[in-house]
Amino acid sequence: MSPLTRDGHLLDLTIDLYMAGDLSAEARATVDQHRAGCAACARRWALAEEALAVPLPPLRVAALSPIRTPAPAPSRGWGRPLAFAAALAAGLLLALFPEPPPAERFVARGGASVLEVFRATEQGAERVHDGSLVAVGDRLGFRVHAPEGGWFLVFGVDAQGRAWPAWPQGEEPAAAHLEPSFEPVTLSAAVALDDSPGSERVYGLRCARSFSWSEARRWAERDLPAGCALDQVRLDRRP
Amino acid sequence: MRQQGLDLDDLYRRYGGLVLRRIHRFYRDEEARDVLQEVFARAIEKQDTFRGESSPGTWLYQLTTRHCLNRLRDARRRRELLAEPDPDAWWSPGATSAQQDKRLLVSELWRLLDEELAEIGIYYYVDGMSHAEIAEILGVSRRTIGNRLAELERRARVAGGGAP
Repeated sequence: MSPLTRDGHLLDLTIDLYMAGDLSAEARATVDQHRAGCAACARRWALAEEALAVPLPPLRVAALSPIRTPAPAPSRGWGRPLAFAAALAAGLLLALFPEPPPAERFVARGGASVLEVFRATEQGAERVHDGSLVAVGDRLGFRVHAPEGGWFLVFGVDAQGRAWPAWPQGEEPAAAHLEPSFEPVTLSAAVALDDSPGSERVYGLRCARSFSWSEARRWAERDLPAGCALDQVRLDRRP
Repeated sequence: MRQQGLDLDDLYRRYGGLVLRRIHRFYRDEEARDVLQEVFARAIEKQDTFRGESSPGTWLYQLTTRHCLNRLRDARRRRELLAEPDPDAWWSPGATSAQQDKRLLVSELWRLLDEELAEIGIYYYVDGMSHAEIAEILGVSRRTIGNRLAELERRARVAGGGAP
């Protein structure tokens, strides 16, 4: 793709791709050469740099994923969750998770706050506290506190002891790193509750070092190491 | 968050600024920030259309352009975009007077254009892209772009009172 317009100036897209590091060496050389001799494009370049220096707002996009992949078990009445999962796979349940309300102060096991859980409502998002009632189809979003940064993993465990990742997503994900932030960080992930019976426990785990999925599972129950903090929110099913 | 090969967080970190800059061609300030969220939600929905033939930045650029145009259902607002007097808003350093005339002519056609033609018009008349570049972004042949632009100009002539 040519980096220049029909008139021989830099394309807007070229400037952006250059700054994102996406141009080939050949294209970068063409851009550098043009910038050196074109005052108009040098000015546009400066404007682009100025625009890209402005911090981005937090991403509120939440891709809804099933709380787990339901196994075919007709005796448990999985028909509905399977249909639900199919809809998810088709991308029909993607949504913008509403902006959560302002943060509240709270303290986690380990001495520092970690996790807030929210439920999407028609009016926005409401905080769900320990012991809150939830229902099938409720969409949950998460926010973590990371004033010192660190490695984070948010996950849940259902009443049958089956664990499901909330953030990061994927199969048994390892913790992901977050940079220090004085503002709580809304995670770009959400889950939709299926109809598994019983309560769900949602955990937010933060450690100073990276850790695996299996470590997180173990530490949620026992042997939480120094340098880690753990929050737990228990959610009960509406009858 | 990884979704079928596209990491949304990584995309946002690397290309959020690019997308926001593109959105600012259509919307200002607070509204642009709302549209930014919409575009990334759209990116998840449309991730199967990213085939890795171009960079993710190019794919997001096209996705953003199309989303903004689709959002601009109001033909009057579209006309304002093309007739934008602010040189920094629709800045085309090499635009000739003939091109400006064409641009104004096209601006009168906005209400008649389908989304694809509007998108091609933006790339050609506003961004200054060549047929080859537009073809690459849209994943169609140069000939298709040539035909579509000829159609656009034919409509412009008719709208201007000339022969079809």
